[in-house]
Amino acid sequence: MSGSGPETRRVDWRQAATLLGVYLRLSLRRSSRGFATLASRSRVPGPAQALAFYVVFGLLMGTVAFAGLDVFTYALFVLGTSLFAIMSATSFVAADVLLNPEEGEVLDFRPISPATLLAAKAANLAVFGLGIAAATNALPMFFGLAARGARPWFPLVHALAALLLALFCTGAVVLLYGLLMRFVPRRHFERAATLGQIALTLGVVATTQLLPRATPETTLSLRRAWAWLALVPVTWFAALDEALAGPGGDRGLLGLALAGGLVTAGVFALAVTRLAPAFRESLSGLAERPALAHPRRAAARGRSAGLEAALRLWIRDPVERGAFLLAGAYLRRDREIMMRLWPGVAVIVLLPPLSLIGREPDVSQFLVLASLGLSMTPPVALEILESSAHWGAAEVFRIAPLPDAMPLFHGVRKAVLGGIVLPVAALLAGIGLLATRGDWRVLPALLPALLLAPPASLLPAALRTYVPLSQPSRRGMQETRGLALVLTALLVLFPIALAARWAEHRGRLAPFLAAELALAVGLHVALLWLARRRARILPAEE
Amino acid sequence: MIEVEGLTKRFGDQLAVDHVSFAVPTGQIVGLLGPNGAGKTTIVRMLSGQLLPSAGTARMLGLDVLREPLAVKRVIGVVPESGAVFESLTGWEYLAFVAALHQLPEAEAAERIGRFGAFFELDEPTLREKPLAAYSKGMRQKVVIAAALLHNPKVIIFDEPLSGLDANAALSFKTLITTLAREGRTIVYCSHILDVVERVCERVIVIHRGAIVADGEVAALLAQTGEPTLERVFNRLTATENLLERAEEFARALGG
Repeated sequence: MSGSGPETRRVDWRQAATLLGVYLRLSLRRSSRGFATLASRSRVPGPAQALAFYVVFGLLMGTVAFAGLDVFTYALFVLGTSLFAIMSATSFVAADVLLNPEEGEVLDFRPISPATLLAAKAANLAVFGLGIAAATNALPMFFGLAARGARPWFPLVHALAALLLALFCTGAVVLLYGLLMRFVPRRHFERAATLGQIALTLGVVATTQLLPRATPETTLSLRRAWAWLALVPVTWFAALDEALAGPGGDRGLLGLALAGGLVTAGVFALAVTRLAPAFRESLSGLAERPALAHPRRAAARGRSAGLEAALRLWIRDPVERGAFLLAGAYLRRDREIMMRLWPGVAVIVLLPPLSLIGREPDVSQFLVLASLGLSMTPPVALEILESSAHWGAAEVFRIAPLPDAMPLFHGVRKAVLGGIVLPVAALLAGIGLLATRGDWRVLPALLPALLLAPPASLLPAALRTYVPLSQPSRRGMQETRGLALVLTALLVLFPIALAARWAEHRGRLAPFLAAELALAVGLHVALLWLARRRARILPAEE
Repeated sequence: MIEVEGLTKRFGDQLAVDHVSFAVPTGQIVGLLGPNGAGKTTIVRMLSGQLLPSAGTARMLGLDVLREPLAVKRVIGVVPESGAVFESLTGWEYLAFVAALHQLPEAEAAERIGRFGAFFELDEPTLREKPLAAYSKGMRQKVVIAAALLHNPKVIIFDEPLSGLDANAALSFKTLITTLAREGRTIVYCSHILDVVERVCERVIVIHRGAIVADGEVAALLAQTGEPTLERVFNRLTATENLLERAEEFARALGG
């Protein structure tokens, strides 16, 4: 194979630049393929839409500069939020960029060293991360001039800090995959990679959520928690802002900024050179020996027969049932979908319990966050299940005698509700009971979210013809749509969640639930009507 | 029976299929031939209701492809050129899924999947336990062919069906389609492997630049053109001039 001599660790930068050029061109052109549907195609290219979204996201985030924050605190907040955006987006597309086994058929027999290939892939991911960092920070870097003690050159320094942060995030993701491919056996890789991705996402969320909670005073006044803050990557890059474009004078800050640069370079060097040979060999292994299922034992077969019988009772329509099983298989076995979906679900499970950590555990906040998470899960999961590396196989839906895409959509929707939303609700209920030491009132308090989950699950089909697994991965688009859905859902659901808490405090949860049920049914009917209007699978025009 | 009248497809300014008309009687195997980009796959996609024609009509067993697309899809089977499958499903799951799309009762579907598996020498543990991603290209193609035939279609369209099949599987497949035709299925067979077309198809339609340039029984075409093989007939009808001389000249230039 590729060996492990010094040549395999040497990067041919010219070749890497050529590869990077091709990767970038491919990712831009890819956005025009896929199963054409009734959804009107936007004239604005996908990457431009994604970047515009992040610019707006940055605009909202940057306005905190006008709240009288000092440079360091402002930088910490903006870069912390950017870290979340960059890390979520890069880890979302990392499997596609780094582990695309199909490209082995084109590149495996070419004279490319493993380090060169990995450098090109890492650079491809870095360009993506830099794009998001640039868009997210485009306005906050100027808003920062309003922060207390900011020097006139703050925008330039902040741009450098955001760039380093993006490179650090990309390097961390590449390093994670490199380590997994070096140390995890092939047959466990899918599961290990998903768990690694979940751990990385949880680390980022925990960091950004716990930062404010660690401070004894106001939420964003962070300087007092110095000792452990120095271990958090965001601090290193925020220190650069403070040291070079703030009042300065603190040598410790400059040291932290230098440490950030050195760690970023070290992470990249380690990932691209030391782990490259193992990466290349494992990549070939991914293409040659796809995961083999282990023969099922008799007990497992019996269980599966029982589940099938129950499924037949629940879902009568065979097409719907087929789509349910298809979605279930992809949720459990497909690396790309697992790595996109489960880290997001992990965040939904983790965020509410985080509100219980700190000086005063807040059960109300736990319930509001749990409700929001539960209602947002269906549209986000359905969004992910619309794309697949096997999108070409969706041709079968055009060949099959289907009157429309509704049974397919309903099957996938039920897989999401039954396979994700209900287990997550049960888990959150368990955590809630533990946190409140067995206060059973937690359970009805989660009902408002469960009532809203079915209508929320209709959203994707109400907006366009929903055909499962029929779209190629469009870099930047899915995570943007996911984030947009989360923000839209927040706007709609947050008042409902707050109202539910208010009703519960006043002992009026039952009438509130009745009113919400009526609202949910109304929403369901309206969204179903819209979805049916968009559900026809038309012959393609081109 | 397939009836095609003035079928036309434009992609912007480009005329991909130009007023194509032909009829295929029940039980006939017709070969649809043409060089790359001639318009074969576009015709197949229009006949199977996947692509809207710009003009013209097509009828399958008397059913209009434009007006009754669902009824047409119920009676046809298609092996698409792409051969794409949902690779995270096992072979069995994929076939059961396609059977569900065609509303086949589950017990009947299971029985048919078992029979296809036995015919294509895909053992049941492999079909049931291995995801399609772990299949070889040939094994996957067998699943794609089985998926097209599961619902017992009356009209079958094969677009490069032998892609990836080994010699034994290809031989079984050729016998299968001639038997299917004898039992009354109408078959459209698109391929670039002309010696197979010559042996399997009673009649060939040659498409060049979106239009029909020849349509007839293989023996009649050979007699008309005075060429010894279908390959030479095809070459005469569709190749640019002096193809062989140009190839020789190019090879010499490469060597020098």
